[in-house]
Amino acid sequence: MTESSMNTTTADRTESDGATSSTETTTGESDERTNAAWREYSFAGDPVLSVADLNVWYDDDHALKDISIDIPEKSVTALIGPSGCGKSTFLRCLNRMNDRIKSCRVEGSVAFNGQDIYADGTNLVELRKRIGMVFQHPNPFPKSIRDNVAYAPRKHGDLDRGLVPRLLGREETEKENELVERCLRDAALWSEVEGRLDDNALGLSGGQQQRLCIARCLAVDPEIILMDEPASALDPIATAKIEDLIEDLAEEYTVVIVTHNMQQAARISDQTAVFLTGGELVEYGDTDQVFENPRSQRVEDYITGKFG
Amino acid sequence: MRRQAIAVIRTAADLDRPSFFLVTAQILLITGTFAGFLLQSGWTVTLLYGFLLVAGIGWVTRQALTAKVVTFLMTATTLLTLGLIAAFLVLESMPVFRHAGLGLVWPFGSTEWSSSQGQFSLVPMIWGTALTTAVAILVAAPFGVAGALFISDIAPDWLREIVKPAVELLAGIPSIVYGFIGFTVINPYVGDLFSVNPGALAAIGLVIGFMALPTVVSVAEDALSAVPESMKDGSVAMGVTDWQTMKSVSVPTAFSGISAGVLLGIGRAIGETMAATVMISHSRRLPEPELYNVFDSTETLTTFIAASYGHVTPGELFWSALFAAGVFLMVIVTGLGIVSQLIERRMHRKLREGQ
Amino acid sequence: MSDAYHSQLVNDGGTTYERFAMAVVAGAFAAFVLAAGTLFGWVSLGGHVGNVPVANVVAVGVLALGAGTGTLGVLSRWGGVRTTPDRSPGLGVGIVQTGLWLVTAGLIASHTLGLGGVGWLVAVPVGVFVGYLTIGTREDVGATLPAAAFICLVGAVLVTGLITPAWTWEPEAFDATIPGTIVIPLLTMLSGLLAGWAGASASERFGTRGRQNGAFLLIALVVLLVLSVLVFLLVFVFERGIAVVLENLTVGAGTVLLLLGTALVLLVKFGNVRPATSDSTDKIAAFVNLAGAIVIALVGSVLAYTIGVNRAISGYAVTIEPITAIGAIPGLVVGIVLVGVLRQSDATWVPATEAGRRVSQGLRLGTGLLAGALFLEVVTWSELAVAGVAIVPTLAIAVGVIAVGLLLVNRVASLSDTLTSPTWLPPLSRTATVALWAFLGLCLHVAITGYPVVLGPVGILASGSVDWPFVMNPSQGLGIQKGVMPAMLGTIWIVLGAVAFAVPLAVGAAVYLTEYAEDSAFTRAVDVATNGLWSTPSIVFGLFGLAFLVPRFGGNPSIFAAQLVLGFMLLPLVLITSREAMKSVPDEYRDASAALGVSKWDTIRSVVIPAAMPGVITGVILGVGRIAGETAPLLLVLNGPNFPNSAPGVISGFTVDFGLQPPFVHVSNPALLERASALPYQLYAIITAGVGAEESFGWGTTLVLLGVVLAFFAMGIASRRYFRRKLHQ
Repeated sequence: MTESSMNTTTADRTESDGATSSTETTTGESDERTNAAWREYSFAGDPVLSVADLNVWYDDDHALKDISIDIPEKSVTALIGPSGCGKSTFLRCLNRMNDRIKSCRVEGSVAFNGQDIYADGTNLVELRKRIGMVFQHPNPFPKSIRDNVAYAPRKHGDLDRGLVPRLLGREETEKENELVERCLRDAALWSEVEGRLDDNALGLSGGQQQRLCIARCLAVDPEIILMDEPASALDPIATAKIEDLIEDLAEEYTVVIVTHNMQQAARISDQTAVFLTGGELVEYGDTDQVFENPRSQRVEDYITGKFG
Repeated sequence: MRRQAIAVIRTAADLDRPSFFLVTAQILLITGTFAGFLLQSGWTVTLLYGFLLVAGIGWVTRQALTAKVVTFLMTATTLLTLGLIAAFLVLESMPVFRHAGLGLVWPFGSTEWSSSQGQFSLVPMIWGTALTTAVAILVAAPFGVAGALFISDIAPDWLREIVKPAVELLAGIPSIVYGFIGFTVINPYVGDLFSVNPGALAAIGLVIGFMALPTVVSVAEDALSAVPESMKDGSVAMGVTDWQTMKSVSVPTAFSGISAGVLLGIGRAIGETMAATVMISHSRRLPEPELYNVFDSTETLTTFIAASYGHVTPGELFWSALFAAGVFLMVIVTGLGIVSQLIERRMHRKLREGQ
Repeated sequence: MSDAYHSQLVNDGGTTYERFAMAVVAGAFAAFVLAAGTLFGWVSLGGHVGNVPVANVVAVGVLALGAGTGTLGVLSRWGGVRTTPDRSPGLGVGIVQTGLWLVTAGLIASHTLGLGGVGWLVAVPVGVFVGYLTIGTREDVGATLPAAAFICLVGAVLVTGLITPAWTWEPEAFDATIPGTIVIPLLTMLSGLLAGWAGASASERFGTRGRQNGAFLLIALVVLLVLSVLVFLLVFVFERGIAVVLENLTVGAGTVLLLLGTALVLLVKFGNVRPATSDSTDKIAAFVNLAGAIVIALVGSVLAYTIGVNRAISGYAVTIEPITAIGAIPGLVVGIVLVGVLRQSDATWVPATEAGRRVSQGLRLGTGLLAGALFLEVVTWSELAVAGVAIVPTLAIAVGVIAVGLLLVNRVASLSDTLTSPTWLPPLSRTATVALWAFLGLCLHVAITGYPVVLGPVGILASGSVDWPFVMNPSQGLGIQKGVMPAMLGTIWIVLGAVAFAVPLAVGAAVYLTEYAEDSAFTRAVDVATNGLWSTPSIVFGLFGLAFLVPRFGGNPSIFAAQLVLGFMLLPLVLITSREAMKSVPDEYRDASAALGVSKWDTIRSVVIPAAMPGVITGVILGVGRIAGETAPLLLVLNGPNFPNSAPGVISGFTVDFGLQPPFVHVSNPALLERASALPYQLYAIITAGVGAEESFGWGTTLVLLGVVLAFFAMGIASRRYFRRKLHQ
């Protein structure tokens, strides 16, 4: 029973993230390679993430092919593309969450502030503290709202609370309250949960749960926040709230967001990268330019809805 | 219940005449067979033939309907079995309860067992069971939960595929094999080492604990694997280590399932018979000089039954006392099994709702 | 970006400090294993290493461990080694240290200093104080120094000879003597655990990752311990029992070759023997399979050589006779297995030409005649002969020769380029199947009539090809080697009866519960009852059988009562797995069938049950494994002689009477209503008979019982894995 459930979760992921087939990609490849004017795309300042020749396989399935991309800091970068194009896989490569999928194999390099995170001896705990992640489906812990937000700081030893600190007279209730309030405010959830911080988080609505997950992520104070279709499971009102929130976050954090909703990408992002079926990156540039004047025919077809 | 009764009546009304006759005949005949068997009537087999005949006719003429009726009767068998076990155990144990009353289990009165003098007390056996079970669960619970964590959250794939079947294989070793090893190897070893009589409760508890281990591992592992991967991902993605995730997310979420596993393990340890029977000394008294002396040897509920069945004849008070021990075992162990099952099911339902 | 920032993200490989911490872990592990070895008697504390007594080596080792552990903490706190400790080691460590020091101080105060019960009062503040110090200091200090102090204390006690192997302690409450030979290893193991945990924590520089390392180390150790007990147990039983089981086993080389050949065929057909193309566990399995295949091939050639030089091989109480003829029973078994294998690849052959149709009809006629003749032989249980010529062998040999001939023609045709194979030639699998059927027929004939069929050097023998006293002899008799045959047959009959009784009931109930019943009080009650039955102790089932079944079936324990009781135990096991299997049949199947206008019952019969069959079979196999080793109920409801001298004659025991009294038709089988033995019961009987002289017989019986039960479990686990993989592909 357990074995099968394990298998299905892995299988589900491979299915949703992995490339479906590699046969049809050959047609457009030469076209993209030669006309890849977007490869010269540059922005002011240092890239916070610099991906070079990234290839990902699920068993024998080649899910991402030769991805190279630089992501500027304190901005919103949207990754769009049809389902199964590998954009979620790409996102999970950026904080090495793909390590948790058994069949996944990654080649190439991802430099974070100039440091290759796929180098030997990388401290994954430290890495994930600095590159946080929000998932497609809200996944709060079955604990109180307060415990959800304070979870990671407590685990990291940044907050002292519980029996031991109380015994030693080190409890930092004040500091914790401040942190919880700040994170919930930043995640635009404070006004809705102010009076009931000790209620179970599973009692919140889907949109609230997702903002709680964002608050939980902010509490670690990361440099980069990765978001995997954070609004896909939510209703339009909750989606609007999350979108506003993302734009605000970009003032302090680098946000990389996967979405299959092109309007959403156009509304909130500064840069857009387009992945197409087969696990290729076919265009990357300023959002306005990508949506109004794409350099690739396939991207234009995709954006105008001719395929995808 | 009422809804179901109405549904049954409606179904019956919908049937055509031959079908109705067939169904009624089948149910009447099998009920008759059962009653005949219960009363040891000579007609039992005849009624059974009758049922088989009617069911055969039904199978040829109205297969779908007969299949439904027969499978329903088969389902009822499970209920009936448990009911019969409980009924017969209680029935046979009545005389000794009437004879000794509460004194049978009252720990502060006379706790002596002497069937020749009409002294019946199950207290030494209950205490023996409690002691061995305590030792057993001290082994089985921590080791079992550690094993479950290892299989579900720590071991890499290739190792899991070795450890999991190995634990299942461990569950397959018959208890009499443990008993034989305990009798020929462990008893003399412990006896020599500590200069005690063979059959130390501590040694028996260790063996039983090892036997209950696979139960704890498999149930706890089921519970841990039911914790959604996305929840663990959420924790790990914040730079929390796997071990912290296990302690703060997986184990609390699966806590009820894990405790169900431990409860089932306790049940297994209480109900374990053969290994203890061949190792223990069968002296029906409380441990000496102190009650908690686990190096002494007494008797447990199960070994009491297994060791004395040959010396009693039906109808005696002694015979009845065996069934009284059986009643205790059944109430505690079967109860633990049912409770742990309910806990487990509630956890799974909650997890499904949380998603 | 500063250097510190980078080095936090990426470890700069192993520093001296980390290597030192790993050395402490290794030392702790060595101490643990050494101490465990003394408990098992592999290392004697009284022995010497060179001139130094082992006890002294252990003492110095423990002291070194303590020093090492302390050094780790001191270096981290004050030695300038860059580590990442938390502010406190945590409550868990504090509790462990509190308990440890409470017990230590208590034992010292009450026993060594002779304060008695008062000593424990003194110990409480000591424990609490150490615990408070532990959680109050920084993690690198709290996790190492109290542990180091304890280990050093143990080391000091051992070094100074306060506790020696000859030392004893006699606590009054336990009425037992606790010798130094067990206290020293236990203290050493505890020291090893503490040092190993602290070292593992230090090797990841403390902090969250350090604690994870320490915890994983302990958990892995627990698992290792459990697995090694399992392996030890199996090896121990095997080592003790194998000589008894194999004593005086004599087999014909031909039979062995036949069995080995079949094993090779099965291995190559079903096992993966290509390690180059597989990974992880499959790779290991492939290597094992390949090695097995090579060993089988080598042994086979040795056997062939034996036959060639006509000399018997014997060793380890086993003799292999240079007989080329094979036994009828092994032949039957092999034939059935091979027919089963061939069926998988036996495509339906529809001949295109008239000649082909004639060949097909001819083959069918031949096998049909053979089957008819065999049927007559089985019914009459004697040889069928016309004018002194036995019909079955003649027919079988004729059919077999024709089939093998066709097979050879087919092979030759396919090997050569110039010959095209004729259109009337049946495919390989068909001719091979026919040849196998002929072989099976011949074996069955020999087994029934007892007359061997021999053609020159090859042939089929009725008996003498295998003589295995331990398995074929009764457990009592004049001047014979003891065997487990009656017990084995008893187990087989009981298990067969239980399966026949419980499996239809369980599968039927599973069908009703998954397909017909809606959620109601009734189904919930059945659920509870099933789980209750599943967890009810086996001895309770025995009592139930004694009170309910035994009086109704002749008044004394019997095979029949045992069959029913074990059937009742099997019922919930099979019901739960069958239900699980039927639930996992996707609803799409049912919908698809219903959308085609197929009735519900037909859907169940032709879609649901076949799809759930693998799961049901797995459940039955695992359940049989469990009940085959069950002993407790058999004491009460089977209760046969300790050492039976004959096996129950169940087959020949059936009688049918007609009468005017109810029940009019009286089917009875006295053999079923008699007491008997079974493998686990036999083992119990040996123990109650006082082992002594019977101990070796007991180990043999244990090995056979373990072999039978674990074979069922292994088969069940393997089949579940196999079907699950198939499902996920």
